[in-house]
Amino acid sequence: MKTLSKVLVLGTLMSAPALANNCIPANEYVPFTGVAAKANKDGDPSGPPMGSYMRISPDGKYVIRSLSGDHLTRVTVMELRDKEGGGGKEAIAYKTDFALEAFPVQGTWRFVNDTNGDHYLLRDVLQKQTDAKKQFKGGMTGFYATAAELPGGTDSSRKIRSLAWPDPEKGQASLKNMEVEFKKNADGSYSKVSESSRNYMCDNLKDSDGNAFTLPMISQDGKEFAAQPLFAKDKEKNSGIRIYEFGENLKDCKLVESTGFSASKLIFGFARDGKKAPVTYLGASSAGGPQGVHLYDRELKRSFFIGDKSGALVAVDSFPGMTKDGRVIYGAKWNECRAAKTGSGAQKCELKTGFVISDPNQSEDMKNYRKENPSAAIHIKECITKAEVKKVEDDQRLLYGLGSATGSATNSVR
Amino acid sequence: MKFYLLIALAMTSRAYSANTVLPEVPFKKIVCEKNVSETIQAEFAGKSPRWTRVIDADSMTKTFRAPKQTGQWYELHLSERNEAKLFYISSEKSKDYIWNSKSCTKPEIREGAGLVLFEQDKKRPIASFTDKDLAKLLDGKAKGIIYLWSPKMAYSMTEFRLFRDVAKKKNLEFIPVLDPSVDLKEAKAAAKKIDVDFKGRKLASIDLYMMEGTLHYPSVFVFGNGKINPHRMIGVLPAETLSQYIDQYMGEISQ
Repeated sequence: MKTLSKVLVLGTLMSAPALANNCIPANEYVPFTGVAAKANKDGDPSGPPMGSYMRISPDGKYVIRSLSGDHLTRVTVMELRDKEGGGGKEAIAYKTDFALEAFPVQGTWRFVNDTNGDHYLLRDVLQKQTDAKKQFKGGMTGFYATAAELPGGTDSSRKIRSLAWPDPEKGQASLKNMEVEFKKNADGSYSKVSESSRNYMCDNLKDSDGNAFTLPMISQDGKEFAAQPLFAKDKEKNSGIRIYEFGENLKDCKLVESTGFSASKLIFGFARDGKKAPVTYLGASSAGGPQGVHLYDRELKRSFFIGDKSGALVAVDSFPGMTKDGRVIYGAKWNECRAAKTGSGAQKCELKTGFVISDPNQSEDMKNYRKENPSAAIHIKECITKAEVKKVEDDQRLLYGLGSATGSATNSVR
Repeated sequence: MKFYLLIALAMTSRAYSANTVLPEVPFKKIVCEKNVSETIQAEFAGKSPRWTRVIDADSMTKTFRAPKQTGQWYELHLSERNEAKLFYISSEKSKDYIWNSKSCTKPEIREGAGLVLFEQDKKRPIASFTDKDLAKLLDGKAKGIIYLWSPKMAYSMTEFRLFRDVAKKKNLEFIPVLDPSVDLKEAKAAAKKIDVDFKGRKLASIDLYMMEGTLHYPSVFVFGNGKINPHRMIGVLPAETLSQYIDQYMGEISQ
């Protein structure tokens, strides 16, 4: 029995470090490298531009970034990749011809879209950059256009739901959607099969939420959207962004939730394990803490601060995003400090620009909440594992058509 | 039976409390509630604060803001488990009110520096829009829109003219104010790229900041009749809806 006890204790000791090693870091900083790391020509002392209107891919490997700076095209696709020889990650740029606020077809990122409705394969943008050719044109265009691939479907028929506002032709700020059906051809290219007419939305809510909405964002599965109503009758008590479901007729809207807070933009994560998709957003600084990224858990109806409180962060982008495995990724500037070579104990700090990859489960706020509310927080786990991340990356690589190859696509801008 | 119903009602949500000093929260107990209320009542000289819910500081805290007067704000954190926290914020000084949950007596008050939205260049001061400027706008008969913009969000620059022209057509003042976090050189260069004259002063107003004016660009505040509508409009709009929005929001503060 004593021998068995020793074996059990030894086994327990050996398993504990393995669990910790399997977790991704709580916060991982990924600096720009190569041309992306160059400051603008006017010599901005804060270094290269962070960019804006960022959109994060389901595997967290790619980011569409507008306002990419003087040395790159206006819009780039950034790749977050492992450094050669190890030691962390870096972000490199691929050029595009896209207009500002180019956006992905969410859910799969099979396509990345220009704002004129041109659909490009992400694979082609990575491999051919500004020489990439569109697959087809379709869907909503204009300001704040956003789209998602609907679940289900086969290579002979899949659908994209797109949402946009405003409609400059009519001068209205009502939301509109349409659906595009597409198919995969024998040579691996894609063609549009059909396109619905435009559906003017939410007229059924005009007496409560009004007829004008701002900051629309569609969910990853295309079934919901977030928006802020401009003329809501109850805005004194319920100001802020709301979450709606598309009606079956794609004209009616159903109010699912008033979050009660304003955000720069509400970006959906992925629904998992039968739970509602969480949303992530940038929050304004409060008197008690730093500006940073939050995650709103729609099951718990609580906002968690998941930003890095170490004090390293200097600026944070307004458009975080979530991966399929639950990580939150956002653009940022931070101070990277190392001990000075003089050995005096002083530190030398360098301002870096890039991305932060966060595991919300490991944030102080989520850990505290889980500790104090174990039964309510049963779906909040200890951490996201490296295996979970790898699974999503492998699945996405096949979907993109990048095959089983690891490493970067060629022709990135160095 | 009635007695038990009354007890049950009293024991449920605080939402039915007669306390007009503290905002409604969905939990039963506020630690040190009596003293927190008394402190706030004293700070606001007996007037009921106009609390607005903002993004929560963390998952177990509800966060609210209320103005005392132009340039002076309070932020209140009400927690389900821990002591409430109250913060006084102005450009001159800050005060943190800290309660001890065991004694619940008067709070410890820690004073600190005021909130500064950007470091002013002492040799070449940057033109700024302060709370004094805001107070001046609200003191007169002026009516208009304050347009917060930033080169970090391109639409706030590309649609600058549309907003300005709608305001002009309605005989309203158009007050452009720049993101305080932006380098001035960057802002001027960005404006030049889209052929817009660089306009406006950097945001230094605590009021506009505490009303979440820096959360997204453009953000528009409507002012008139000596008031500013605290409900800002975020993002770009076509001219027709922008005009409708201005009319409605101006109407709300003209009553």
